[in-house]
Amino acid sequence: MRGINSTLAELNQRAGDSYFEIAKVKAHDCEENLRRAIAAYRKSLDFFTFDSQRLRHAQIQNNLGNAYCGLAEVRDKEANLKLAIAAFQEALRVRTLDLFPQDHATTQNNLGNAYTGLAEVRDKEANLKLAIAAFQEALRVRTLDLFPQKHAGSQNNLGNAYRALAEVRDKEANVNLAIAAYQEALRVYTFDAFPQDYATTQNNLGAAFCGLAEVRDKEANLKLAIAAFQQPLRVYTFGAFPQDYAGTQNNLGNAYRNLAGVRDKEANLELAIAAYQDALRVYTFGLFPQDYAMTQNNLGNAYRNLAGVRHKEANLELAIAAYQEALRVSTFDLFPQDYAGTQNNLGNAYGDLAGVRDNEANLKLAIAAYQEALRVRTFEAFPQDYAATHDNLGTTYGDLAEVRDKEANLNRAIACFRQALRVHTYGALPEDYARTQNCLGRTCFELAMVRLESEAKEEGKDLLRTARQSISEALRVYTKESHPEQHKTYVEFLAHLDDMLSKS
Amino acid sequence: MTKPLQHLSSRVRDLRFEHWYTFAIVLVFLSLFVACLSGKVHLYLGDVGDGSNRFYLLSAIAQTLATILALLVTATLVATQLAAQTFTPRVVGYRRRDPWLWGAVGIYLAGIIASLAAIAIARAAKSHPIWNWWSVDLTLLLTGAGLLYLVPFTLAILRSLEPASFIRYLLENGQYDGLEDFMRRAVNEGLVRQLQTAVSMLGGHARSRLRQTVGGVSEARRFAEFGIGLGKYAAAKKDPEAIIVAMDYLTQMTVHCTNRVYRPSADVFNESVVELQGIAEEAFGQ
Repeated sequence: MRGINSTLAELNQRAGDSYFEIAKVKAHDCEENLRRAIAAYRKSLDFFTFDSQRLRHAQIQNNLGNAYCGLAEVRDKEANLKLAIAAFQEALRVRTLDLFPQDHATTQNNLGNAYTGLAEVRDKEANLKLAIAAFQEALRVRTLDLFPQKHAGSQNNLGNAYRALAEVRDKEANVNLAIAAYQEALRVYTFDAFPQDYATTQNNLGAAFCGLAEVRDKEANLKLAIAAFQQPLRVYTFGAFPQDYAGTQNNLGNAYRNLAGVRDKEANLELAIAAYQDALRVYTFGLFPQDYAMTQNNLGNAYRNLAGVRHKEANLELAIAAYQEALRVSTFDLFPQDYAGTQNNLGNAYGDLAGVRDNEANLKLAIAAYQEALRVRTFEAFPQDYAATHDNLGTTYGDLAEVRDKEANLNRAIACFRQALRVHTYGALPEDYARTQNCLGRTCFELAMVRLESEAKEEGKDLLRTARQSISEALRVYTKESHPEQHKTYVEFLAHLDDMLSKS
Repeated sequence: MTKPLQHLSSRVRDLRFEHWYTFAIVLVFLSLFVACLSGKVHLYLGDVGDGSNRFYLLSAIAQTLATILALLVTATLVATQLAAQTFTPRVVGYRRRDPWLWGAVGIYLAGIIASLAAIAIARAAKSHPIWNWWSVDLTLLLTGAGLLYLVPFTLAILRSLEPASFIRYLLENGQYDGLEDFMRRAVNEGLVRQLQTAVSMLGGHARSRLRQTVGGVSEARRFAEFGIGLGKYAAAKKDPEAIIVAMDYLTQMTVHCTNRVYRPSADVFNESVVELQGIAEEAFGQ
């Protein structure tokens, strides 16, 4: 067994640096080189211990942390990020703010990135808060005046952490903090000085405005998002940065599609479709299959929305074609979640098409698509998606009941709505609860009418009582104050049910 | 731009002052040569009395040129000796093929022969006055060119003593053995800066060769072997700094090949980094 000395430790550190540098660019051997880097750093740490050579020890620990962060991107994310965090914290035992402020800031910034990554797989809120604290600590040293570039980098990272935190807590406040951080970064990352960083930060800013649009001033914020997404395209041209170009066009398409929900529907959907089609010039089936599938799915959504304003049949056919393209990549075996999402969208498109032509056939295709989605969207694994798809399936069975096997299909619809209500509870999701209860009530009413017309009078009355119960439950959410219009409709329906119950 | 044009333009960019200077000498020489030949210009203004001044002039030119040539050869030998001590003994062989030296020998010998021939012509062929004029003009032209050539020759000799110029010469002429000697000497004498210069220039040369062969794997192997060879020698000499230089070279080549999408070549260099680390561990492990 060979021992270690300072020379070998030094050489191992340099070897670690070499492997890490190679891993940063060499995608096909990234994992192998990162493992070599980690092994080399670990060997050098046998000699450069905390007690013997603190500075060197901290430097290697910092590099080791970076290598673990890189490895986490390709394998065992949680475990490797935890090792990275441990390495950074070990480095910070030496790299204190007082003694080595610049190194302290570098390691804190790295630590923040590790926590941001960890938040994607575990304890999102807690880890993002730790990430934010680390970035803020780094920014105590990395001031705008002294280290403008590093200041901008940490501000951009801070913005990303706030944006992720907004997904779980205080959306508006955190998105606003993210926007402020990005804007601070853009004071340094100008188009002329740092075009690529400028483009990245503008992309992030656009995403933040999209998030803000979900909670406030939808139109204004989506317009700001679009303006931000247009900036990276000054840098990310089709010829020079095709992948970034396509990514930005996809983001732009999403923003236009959302804006279409509040203003100039037709024009904005056309812009969205054009953006997706631009993205698909790069995201081809052969080269970027996953991105291709994602963009085709988005394109399908845009066509489906456009079908709501013009050329319904033609646009729905285009939507269906786009979903089917997406499903060439998003298969049940390879990408089950994407498969389920696209199958659900496909079901919606067939359901809409059924309103224009071949009613029964298209409704059956819609049902088949929803059932495919439910192979993945199980109650245990994806409860909310499970409920949403059951809602859709129930509605489609209800529609099919109008043309074929009325009783059987209404029963199937009721069973679906009951499944949805396992997730759509009053306490957890009141709006969804009310909507599903309303659907259940109306379907029960329809079935009650069938029963009452036949000999099963008692069964019909039971169904009317169930319908009454469901509508009453919906009214717990749709109060006179919060939803006056729905409240009025439901109350009238409830009175009608009471009337029928009393007569029968 | 087509490949031959690109190659030509890169060669032109590589030309140094002494090359341009020599080019100018050749142009002036040829212009005056044609002018003398056509009789438009006469450098020699004519004989005085019995023409003994012509003989004195030509004889003095022949002696002067012979002396200068002897000095140039001596200076070259001294420079060669110095370079052999500093870089590699193979310099002696390279100097034998040095175009600057042969250029000097050619011009001066031509000048000496021309002056002797002019004396002979003057004595033997008095009936051809034009030929008499022209032979002396040619001798004067060659003498002038020889004297002017001293400037680029001296610059080239001095430049050949610079490590970077020497490495460049080795790389341009594919003298990889000489480059290996040079690097080993740098390792032996602990000249890390010089070693870094050589490896950096080798990297530039390797990148250029890989570009020409569109990432040819055999080229990659050859240049990776260089790094490994240097690493092995450094390990044998227990020189960690030289190993680091070799490791950096192989790392940069891996990154370059990856960025240029020369995947098999990138793998070759990547594996070489691994091999070099093994060599280092073997050499420095206790």
